[in-house]
Amino acid sequence: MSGGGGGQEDLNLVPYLDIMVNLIMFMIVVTAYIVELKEAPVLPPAYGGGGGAGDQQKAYLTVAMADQGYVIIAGGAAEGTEAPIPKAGNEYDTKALTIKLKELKAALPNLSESVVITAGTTQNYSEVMATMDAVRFDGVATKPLFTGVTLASVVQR
Amino acid sequence: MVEGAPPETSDDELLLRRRKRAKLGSAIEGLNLTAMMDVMTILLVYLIKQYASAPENIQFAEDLKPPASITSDKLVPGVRVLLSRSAILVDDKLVLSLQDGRPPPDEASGEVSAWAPVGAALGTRRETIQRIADGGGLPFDGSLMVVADEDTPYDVLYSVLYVAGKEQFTTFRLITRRK
Repeated sequence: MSGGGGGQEDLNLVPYLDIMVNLIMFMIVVTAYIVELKEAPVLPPAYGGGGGAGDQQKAYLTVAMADQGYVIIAGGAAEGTEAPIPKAGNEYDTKALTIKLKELKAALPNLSESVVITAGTTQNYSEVMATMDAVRFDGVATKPLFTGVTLASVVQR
Repeated sequence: MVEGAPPETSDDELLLRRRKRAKLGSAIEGLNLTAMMDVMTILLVYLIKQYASAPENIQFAEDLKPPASITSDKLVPGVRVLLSRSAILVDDKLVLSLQDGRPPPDEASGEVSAWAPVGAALGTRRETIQRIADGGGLPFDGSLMVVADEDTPYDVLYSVLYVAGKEQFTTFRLITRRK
């Protein structure tokens, strides 16, 4: 009779292996469902006085988010204010903003690659992010429009 | 030769012995699971380690949902500020409680004092990184990950960026969800 407890038998690894396989499958599935996050860089505002002669020859754009819609203000070599882009319903017309910025980029050869965005206390972060997308890209991430975005101080009314 | 005794060797017996020997040599006695266990363990440890150290490993709640964006820039780890509708956290430490995304009314009356705890926490974090850099660690690069709720008012977001700028943070990276 074999009976004994003294015999040295191999450890049964099959249950451990089952646990491992299940854990790995779980980890892989969970990783697949994690929200994919990306980042949008923002340039810090320039402090101090104005630039040199070279900077004065450049044109700068500021996109102000007013309650009625976008207001594009040009500064530097091309001072002026463009016609406002009204909201489409309750939302900002980001497509119209991209089209207008493309027109300005084609028309102004000395236009800076950085655009300033400013908003008021009634605008929220998602609206600002949608505006940033409209400024940075021409519809898709593979078509860049303006490479830099600076957030300016809150518009006081 | 003694009668009744088996023959010493015969061709059949030799063949049988050879077959038996060959069979014993090539037999698979059982799958060796130890090596497979090693592989599985290494794979599991790698997955856990990768998951734990990923910069995108951010705990979201109902009041912390970043806005959607088409941007495709990958996340780079750095000092992290979380702006939910109820609190501001610097590297997962609570520094300021908010009411509906804004500082409480008594604190909001004085603009400088309302955001002072955020500035202090960021300043402390910067000093810690600089001390580590002095000891041979990575230098302070002034980058800040801003994870904010999509409903955060613009003035609150800007105020946080403003106090961060005063604490020598010069690169702001707004964290978004992939659209």
